Formats: sequence, C-alpha cells, structure tokens
Amino acid sequence: MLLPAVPRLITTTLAALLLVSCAKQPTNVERGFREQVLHLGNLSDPRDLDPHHNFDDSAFYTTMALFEGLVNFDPIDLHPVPGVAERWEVSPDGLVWTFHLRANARWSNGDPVTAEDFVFSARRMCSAALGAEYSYLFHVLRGARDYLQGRQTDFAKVGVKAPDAGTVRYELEHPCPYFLTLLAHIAWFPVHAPTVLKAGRIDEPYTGWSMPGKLVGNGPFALVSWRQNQELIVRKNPYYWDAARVQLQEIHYHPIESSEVEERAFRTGQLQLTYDVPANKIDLYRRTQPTVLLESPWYQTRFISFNLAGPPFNDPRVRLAFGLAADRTQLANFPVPRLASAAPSASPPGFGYNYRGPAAMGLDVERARHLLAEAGYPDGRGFPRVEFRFDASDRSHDLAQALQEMWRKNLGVQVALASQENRLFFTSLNRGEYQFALDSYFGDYGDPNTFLSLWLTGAGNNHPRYANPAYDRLIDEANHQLDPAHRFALLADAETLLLTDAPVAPLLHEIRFRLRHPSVRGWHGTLLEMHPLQDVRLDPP
Amino acid sequence: MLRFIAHRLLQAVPVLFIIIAVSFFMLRLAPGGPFTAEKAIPPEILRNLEAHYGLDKPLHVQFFTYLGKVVLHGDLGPSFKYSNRTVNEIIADKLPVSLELGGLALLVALVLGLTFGILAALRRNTFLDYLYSTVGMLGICVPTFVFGPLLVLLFAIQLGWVNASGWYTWQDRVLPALTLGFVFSAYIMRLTRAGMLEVLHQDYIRTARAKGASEVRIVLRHALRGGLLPVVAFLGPGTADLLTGSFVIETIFQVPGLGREFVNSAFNRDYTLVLGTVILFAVLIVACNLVVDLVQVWLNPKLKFE
Repeated sequence: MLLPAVPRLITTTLAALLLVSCAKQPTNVERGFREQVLHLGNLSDPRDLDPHHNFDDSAFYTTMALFEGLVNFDPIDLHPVPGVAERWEVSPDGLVWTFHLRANARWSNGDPVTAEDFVFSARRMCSAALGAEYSYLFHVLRGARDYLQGRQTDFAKVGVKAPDAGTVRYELEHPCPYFLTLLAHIAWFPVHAPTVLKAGRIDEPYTGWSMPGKLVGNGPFALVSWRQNQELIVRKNPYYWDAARVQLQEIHYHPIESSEVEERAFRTGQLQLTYDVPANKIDLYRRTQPTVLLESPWYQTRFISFNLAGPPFNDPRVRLAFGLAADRTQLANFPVPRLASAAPSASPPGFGYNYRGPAAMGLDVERARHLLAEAGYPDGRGFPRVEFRFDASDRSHDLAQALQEMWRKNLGVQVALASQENRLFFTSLNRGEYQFALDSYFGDYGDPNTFLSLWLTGAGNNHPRYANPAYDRLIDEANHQLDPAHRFALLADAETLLLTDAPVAPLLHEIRFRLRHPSVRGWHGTLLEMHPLQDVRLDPP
Repeated sequence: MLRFIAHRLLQAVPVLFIIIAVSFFMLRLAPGGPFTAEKAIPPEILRNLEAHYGLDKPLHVQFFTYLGKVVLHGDLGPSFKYSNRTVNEIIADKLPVSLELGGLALLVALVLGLTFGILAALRRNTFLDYLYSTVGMLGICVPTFVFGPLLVLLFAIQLGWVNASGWYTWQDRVLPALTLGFVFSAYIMRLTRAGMLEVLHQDYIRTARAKGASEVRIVLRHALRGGLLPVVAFLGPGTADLLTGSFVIETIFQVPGLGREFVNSAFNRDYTLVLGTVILFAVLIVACNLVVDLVQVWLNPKLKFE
C-alpha cells in the first residue's frame, strides 16, 4: 500500500535534510580570528549613517567605524586623544581652540581631509533646515545658537574658521572644559563636502549620500553593504591615516532586537559580541562563564521626575518624602543582584576629575514620614490617588513594582502603576501630562554638565519643568570657570540645590551587560558606551 | 466567471479605501510621532523635520496627497525610520523573503497536515488517530515563540547542525519553515480529518467502492475533493497570513522579512511604512480570498458563480 509509506517517506526526507546540513562548517567565531572579521549584535538598524543625522544608540557604533573627528576617545577610559588633529592649543581665557590637522588624514576615496571640511560640517550642523537632532551640542560655538534659530543668517559670524587647509579654529560662547570630549561626539564629525553636495544642498536632509556605494567617510572602516534588518558590513579603509594600527579586516553589525535571540546566536558562535544580555541569564553567566560576561558601569541615571505643575507634587516635602522612601540598594539588586548601583545624586561618578555629586538622597524612612506628615498626610492618610508612569520595558516594570511596594510600606501611600508604550511615554513626559514618572538619561559627553544642564529653566528635557534662577546661575557660573576644582565645587552646589528642591529623585546608575567572546581583544566596556575600534583584534583564545 | 471576478474586484475598491483611511487616521491619532525619542529634539529642528515630510500641513491635505500618490503612481512614500529608503524599496527587499519563508512553511504545512489528516481519518479511533490528533492539538496550543526556541535549542545549540538564527544559507531556512509550517499543519490536519470523515460516509464513496475502485483512487480521486473544502476555506486568509510574514518567527530566527518591519514600524511611528504594509496585506488578503472562492467552485460542483 502506498499510504502508510508516506509518513515514513516524510520522516526519512526530514532526517536526510538535517543530516546534510550537519556537515560542520566553521562558525563566525572560528573564522573570525583567522580572517579578523568581527560579528557583533547592534540592537537595530541606524536611521541613517550620516553622522549629522544620527540619534539612535546603534548608530554610534556604525558611525564611529566610518568617520573620525578631530579628537578620538581612548578605548579604555575615554580620555581625549588625537584624531584627525595631531595637536591643539587653547587660548588662556579658554575661548579659542586651535587644531592642527595631520597631513596624512584622508577620506575613503583618497581626498585629503582639510580644515574646510570641518567648517562645512559645522555649517551643515547649524542649518536648522537639515534637522540635525544633536544640533544643540553646537550651542557652545559662538553665534551658533542664533544661526540655528534664525536670528542670524551670516555663517561667517559663527565661531569656526579655517585660517589654512591644516588649521581649524573654534571660538566659544563660554569656556568649555569638556570641549574635547564634545569634539569626539559623532555630531562634530566631518562629512565629505563634494559627496554631500553631489546628492543635494548642504542643508537638505536625507538625500541618500550616506548609502552604500555613495558614502565617503574618513574613519578606520569604509561601508561595504547594508541590508536592513540583516547585516551592515564595513571593511578596513586603506586610506585611513592610522591604517597600520587597525587589525580588523571587517565588521558585521547584526541588528538583533531580542536579547534572547542574540544570546542564542552567541552560543552557536555566530556573534563575538552581543549588545545586551537577557536579565534572567546574568546570574548564570556570572556563575558559569564569568570571563565571557562583560559588566561595565554606564554614564546613565534613572530618576523619578515629579510634575511640579499640580498637587500633590508641587510640594517639595512630598517629593523629598517619595525620594527618601526609596531603598536604592534594594532596587539596584532587584530582581538580580548587582544590576545597577545606587544613585545618591543625579550625575553619575566617573568623569571630570572624578566629580562626585553630593550624596544627598538615600533611604531615610524616618525623615520621609516626617516630611509627609508635615505636608499634611501623616502616615499617608488623606494622600490623593497618584499614578506612577513608566515605559514598557521589563526592567522599568520591575523597578516600578518595587517602588510601589516601598512607598506603601514606608509612607503608607497607595500608588497606581501605569505602563506606557515608549513613544507614548516620552510624549507624556515632554508635554508634562503625568504626575510622576520613572525617567532616565544617559550622558552625551563626559562631563557632569550633560546631566546638570537638563534641569535648566526651559531646557528641552526638563520634564519636571523645574525653574530656579539660583540653579541656572550656579550652572552658568560654573561654565565660565576655568579652574576645574572651583568649577566642580560650583556644580556640586548646584546639584545640592537641585536635590533639596527635588524636582527629581535620583535612583540608580545602570550597569551595561554584554557577552564578549574570549577571542575579542581591545574592546572595553566604557562609561559612554563609545567603542573606538582601532585597537580591536581577534586572537585565538 | 469573468463577471464574478470583475464584480469582486470592484467590491475591493471601497474595502481598500476604508482600510487606508481608517489606518491613516488611527495612526495619526496615536500620541508620539516618528521623531519622538528619549531625548527631546529642539523645537526649531523638529519643525524642519516635520516640514520636510509635509507633516506640518492639515491632516486631510496630507491624507489626499498620500492617497493620490498611492493611486496614481503606486508611490508609498519615504520611510520615516529609514530616512534614505522609500517604502516601495523596503517592500521590494523584504517581501521576497517573507514569500520564501511563507511558501516553504506552506509546503511543510500542506504535506504534514494533509498526509496526517487523511491518515487519521482513514484510521479513525485507532492509536494512530489519537497520536496524530494529540500532536495536532499540541501544534495548535504551543505558541511559536516556545516551539521555535525549543527547535533552536535542540538542533542549533545541542546538535550544532544549523545556525541559531540568520538568513544566509539554505540551512537557515529549515528551522523557521518548520516552526511556522508546523503550527499551520496542525490546523490543516484537523480540518482535513474532519472534512474527510464527513465525505467518507457519503453515498458516492460507497458507489466508488462498489465499482471496485482501489482504496488509493477512492481517497485521492473521490474523497479528497470534497474533504478538502474546509481546508481550502481556511487556506485563503491562512496563505495571506503565511506569505506576509510572521513577526514572531522573523524575530526568533532573525529573518529580514516584512513581518518584523510591519510591527516595528508601528512602534517607530513610521507612518508610511505602516500604511504601505497594511495596503499590501489588504491587497493580498483580498486576492487570496478571491482565489479561494474560485477554487471552491471548482472543487464543489454544487456551487455556482453568482
């Protein structure tokens, strides 16, 4: 009979199919150290490879391979090191910075990188029509803010000049001790003027010049191909001035949204580096393969933003009570030990001669209850119904639940939790349509100013809409201060004031987790999550 | 028959219009836009970005501009998330991937589902029937996001026969097609079994037996034609569903298909990409249903084109 034979036929075919595929091929990891090809997880595809049109996390990694600024980061501690500029000097008043370009800096088509390229790039970034998301990083340049906001139309008045092909001079609004780390940000990277202008006007967004086959960069790698949702490939750029130092031949960026999928790909040797690690696997890796798990502090703070516009959070005593009733140590170890570190202050430790914010916020149940009673709610009695907002990630969900329990136990207050889809959540925060929320920020550059300027009056990310002239004055004064010690003292004063007014209550500094194959050398966990690739190589483990 | 087809195509026009209009306005009513991010964009920059995409114009103007471009030029507009690509380019790149995965999965589903459905019906109430029905039930109950990773665990991580994810070689097609096909095969198996059981008791089957037709001929030639009717009805929307990709499968196996683009575009508020994929899916479903209707008339002599 024919019919009973069919299932056997199917099983045999399937078995044969799997057997054929069983012919062992070398994995990406095994091929990797022979051919120096790095495969890494990159979360998602960048919006664009144009360094002036980049906003996503993942874009930083690809852009740092394709372009290079005047100044580079050291791969371990991110201190500024020479990039396209081989040396620089700053005027005694800290306002004029002069950079001397190295003669052998070239674009990936062989053209020399000139000072004019940097002037062109600054002009492009400062054109509002381009719609560059990071344009605010240029506000430090003299006249740039006026030009961006249309109050000034003559770019010659903006403080960037090229006295000759090998010299760029920036004039600043105010002394800026962190100017060098700003320059290492992708927003300050140069673009190749002829390529940009061939595709459109200087201020025309999305002309396609940054697509494969067209993009000309000056970084250690050059773009080969980009298939959306599959793979973006870059190859060593022979024209790069320091090409002799670059060991990797190719980098393949894999946009993998799910950390579980990424972890499985890592286990089968398809990736040497992951973007993230599933939270429930962290402890397992700590116990079984600690050398593979890369844990590094991140220049990031999670905090509670209080909406100052209405009761009950227009009362600083209530805000402080909520902040003091949160057990940060417990939060940092929930649900897995050492997922984060407790944050007593808004700006994380680590940059700027080890600036440390005042240790102002910690668990103090006694004082929290006292403040709440003073505000008219002894033991939480009569406290209105409030809603705590957070984004849709699992991590935020865990934290919000833990906080809800702490406030119930320590203050006797019932808090309703409301999770929102990410864009909805950011929209609520920006519009001030919330009562209090689990907020976070990661630093754009290596200086406490990146955090402390968030709460200046009218600042774009000032979610509580905090407005205190005394705070603004202290930050402004600090930014006109040349002496670092004095400057940090002023910043610390400002932060103390901030934490007394408590428009925000800092909670945690998150830790970043990655899986890194032992063959990967020269790739380090860094505070800003910037990873210079010049020294990365793959050795047989 | 041509009249029937023409009539159905005419019906599709208002259906598509309503789908486009409802999706367009629902999408715009959702808070947050394509440029909403964790870090707020300065207002002067946001204004320029919105002007670049024409988002500063009144909503109804935007709607009719969009509709005009779609209808007159087949132009689905630029993507908001992938700034340098158009929705047409994205679909042209991703649809073939989804079609390949869907086609393979359909093949798996049909081969497994039909075979075991027919066998279960023929061996009704035997151990084999119970076994197939149990496996079929499991296939329906176990979600793909459990079944897929289990297959990966076994064949990729434990045995090392295939990669855990990716879409490069033909080996990469095996696990996604099996996972997606298995779930559908379970439905097809149950429908085939039920359809066949009903048909096998009909008079004309007895007649065929009486005339001395072989068992194989009875099953394949006489019973299957009637027994497949419920399966065919299911295959209409089912095929459209399979061909347009599965977000879960594409995520688990890192397949660069259209399903992932569709779901992510909603999160990204990539207005044009959401609309483009919705229009494509709508057209596919309308087309599949039309084909199913034609096949049903062909299979069932009692039906006529009315």
